[in-house]
Amino acid sequence: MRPGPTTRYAALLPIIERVLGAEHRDTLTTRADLARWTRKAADDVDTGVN
Amino acid sequence: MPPSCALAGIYRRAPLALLLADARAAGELAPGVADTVGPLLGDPVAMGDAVAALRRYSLVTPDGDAVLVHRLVQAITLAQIPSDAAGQWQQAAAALIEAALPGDPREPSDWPAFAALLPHAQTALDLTSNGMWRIASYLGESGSYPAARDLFQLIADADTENDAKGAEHPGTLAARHNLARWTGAAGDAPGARDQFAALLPIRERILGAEHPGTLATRANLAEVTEQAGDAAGGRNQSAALLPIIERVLGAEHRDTLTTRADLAFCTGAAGDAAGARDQFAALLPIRERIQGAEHPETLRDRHELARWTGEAGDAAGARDQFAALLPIIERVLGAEHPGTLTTRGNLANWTGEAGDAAGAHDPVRRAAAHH
Repeated sequence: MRPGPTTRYAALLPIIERVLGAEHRDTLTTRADLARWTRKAADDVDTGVN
Repeated sequence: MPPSCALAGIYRRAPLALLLADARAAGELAPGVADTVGPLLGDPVAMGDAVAALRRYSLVTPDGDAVLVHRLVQAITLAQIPSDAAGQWQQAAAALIEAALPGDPREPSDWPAFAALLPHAQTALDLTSNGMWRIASYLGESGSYPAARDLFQLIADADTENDAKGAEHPGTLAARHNLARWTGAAGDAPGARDQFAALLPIRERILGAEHPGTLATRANLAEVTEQAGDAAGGRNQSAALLPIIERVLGAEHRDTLTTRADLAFCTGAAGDAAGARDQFAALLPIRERIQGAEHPETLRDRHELARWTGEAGDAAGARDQFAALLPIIERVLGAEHPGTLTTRGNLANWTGEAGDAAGAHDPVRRAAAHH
């Protein structure tokens, strides 16, 4: 059982937001990455990947 | 009342074992204070007796290597010190804190001592003191970037207004260099770039073009030039600087190695991922030998080697390198240091790039499947 990127980014985002602030570029990048991998995971499910 | 109360009265949680460990502070104490505090320095038995005396009066509560002092006791004790002695006690407190602060803020094993002394340093130390400088550097190195930026701003302002220094004193310029550095780390790369660019010609004129401080400003300017979006510009600046810094400081000086790391990073950011990977792979063993396998700068190079391994096409290799690195970085820097958080982000990303977008048995995958 290995956590995927969405789980990892979802756990990371509130911490990085608290430590660096909501508008630090690393926080914004993490937010975008979470969105990207969440979308990718949903697409993979829809297209039957994995 | 034992006179040592007056010293303890300055603190809330007073890390006495740390503050009184170094007998070298004795030379800094005024005569009236030296009689009381001097015998306690470097003598745990005498310190234990003094703490026991304070406990008998219920003035302090032991707390590990420290004592806790109630704020009221603190306020009353301070009020009872005769005004002509107050300055001497304040100076004594500053001298003890100065002597107790560790020497190298870049060393994570010294961060707990800095953390214990931080509130006392902020109360007792002058902005232009060496101790306050180390406190500001500690804040930045340990990940509190905005706090480091704000304190270096205060230090730079105090230096500028200080008649003994002024706007172009080398110490003032060094404070401005650090202000720019932590401005960038706190998220404002264009602001940091503009600060370094304004500072560089002044440092060149005052210190000379090949002074280590001037070279450091050039190195940082190259780094934030890339961060502000101009990777090719940063790479060209680093490439031009490297032979100079190598000649002046030596091939294995840590600043030379950091400039090599900047060049490698900018090489990757400008489009040559395999080149960046190979440069970091060549740099890492040197850094490990010179600075140790777990120094924060060594760990940063390992982080970059993993990243550019992935960018060059080996996502599974990057994932495995980040997975091996994360527990080490977390242990050395702490769970919430920005460097640890960045490593977690990269592990997440390369886990996905390696083809495991959803993760095995990943609950978020199941959640996503329903939306």
